[in-house]
Amino acid sequence: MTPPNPTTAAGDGLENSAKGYFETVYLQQYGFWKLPDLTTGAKLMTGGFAAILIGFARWHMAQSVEADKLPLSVILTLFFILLICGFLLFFDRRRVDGDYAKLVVVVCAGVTLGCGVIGLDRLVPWIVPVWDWAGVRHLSPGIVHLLVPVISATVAGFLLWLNTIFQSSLGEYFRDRRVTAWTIAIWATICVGIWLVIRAADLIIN
Amino acid sequence: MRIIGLWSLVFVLTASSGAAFAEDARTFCRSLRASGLVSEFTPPGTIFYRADRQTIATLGGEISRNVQRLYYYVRPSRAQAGQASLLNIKYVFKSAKRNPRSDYVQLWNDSWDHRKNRAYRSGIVNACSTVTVPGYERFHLQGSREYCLSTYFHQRAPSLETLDTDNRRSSFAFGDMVETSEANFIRQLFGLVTPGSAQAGQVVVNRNSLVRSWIKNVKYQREADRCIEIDTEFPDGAESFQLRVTNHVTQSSTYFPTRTWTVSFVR
Repeated sequence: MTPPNPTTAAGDGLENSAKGYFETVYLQQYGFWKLPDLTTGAKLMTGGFAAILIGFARWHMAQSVEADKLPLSVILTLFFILLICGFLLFFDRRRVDGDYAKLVVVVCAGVTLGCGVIGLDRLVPWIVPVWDWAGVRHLSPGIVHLLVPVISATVAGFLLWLNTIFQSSLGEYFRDRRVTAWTIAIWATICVGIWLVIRAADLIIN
Repeated sequence: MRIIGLWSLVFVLTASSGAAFAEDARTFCRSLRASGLVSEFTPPGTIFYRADRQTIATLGGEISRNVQRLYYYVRPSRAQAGQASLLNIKYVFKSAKRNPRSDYVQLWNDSWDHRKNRAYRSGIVNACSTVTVPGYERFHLQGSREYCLSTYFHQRAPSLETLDTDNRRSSFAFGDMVETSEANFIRQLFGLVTPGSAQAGQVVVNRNSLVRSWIKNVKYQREADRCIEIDTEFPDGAESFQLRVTNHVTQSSTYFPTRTWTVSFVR
């Protein structure tokens, strides 16, 4: 009897994780209850990519990426996301078991995507023009700090919306009021998530 | 009544002794000129302070902890007369104790004093109160985005655009003054070289240092000299400090005269 090859087993595991991850990314949509259950490997890869993009967005926004600050900020952001998702789902009468985890996955994917939009500023500068625009209008610094999370969440939200349409259809999207309501709720949660991870969590920690 | 009288006397004595050591820059400059310590041949960029009520001293390698204020004496060259110029003053402490605010750069731009709207001014101070030391360095050396630094801390036209060249922008960084030991996973992942890493032979100031930086926007007049106030708040445990002044001279200049003082406290 031949013992199983550990290298091949690990390789298969990685392959399955990557497959699960890309499937999850491909299926992201506002109708989160339609998502399949995530494998552990896919969850780990989602977390890994999220950590890289969040870290890069924080680095680009001149926030601390030190080993003692970054994980704490991410954990605090995740805590608030879990709290908000639980609160929002409480009001959805059509919820079923497992929806909570899927909703959190969609929001986290949105936050990660938003951080990617912030990182994109490195290639296509969009943040400074936004700040200049705000400066001309004498907006208060508190409001200006919300502009970057709102804009990046809107871009991420739009991409999610396109994928939602791609997964179903435009007509189906507007017919299902549950999906429309969750579009607004998820977008707002992504805004809060990005704002927390690039600024507000640090203010709470300190 | 006696108690009130006694307290009044104590208050007057305290206030008068404080005023003697932390007078405003104009008064100090008058005393400095009267003392004969400065003349038109005095090299620009000398720092003076009140050693006691009668004595004005030049900043050297040692200083008493009781000194509350330093004064940077500057005299423009004829070439820059009438043109806007900027002074960037920064200092860091070498401290044995951990300071809870050590992760933040304390910033000040003297143009903020002229804002009439109090709410807006406090908004600026609030926005500029959470700039981290590594963030400050990345903004100046690696192009990271920081709202306070790009909008409020640096001068924009029509005063003076301090970020118009990479050279000018990087001159605001702390460079070798602060060791920003970013033990972060990004550096580990991508092998990025973080700015501010101290090199061999340079003065290393640990992460627990209190870091300050100001911009003093000074518009020179022909043959006029000035004293610029530098307030000194030495925290407990401070052993020494480094002070660096960069004079941005004029908009068109590419060479910025910089001078650094490394000062320890008299025991």
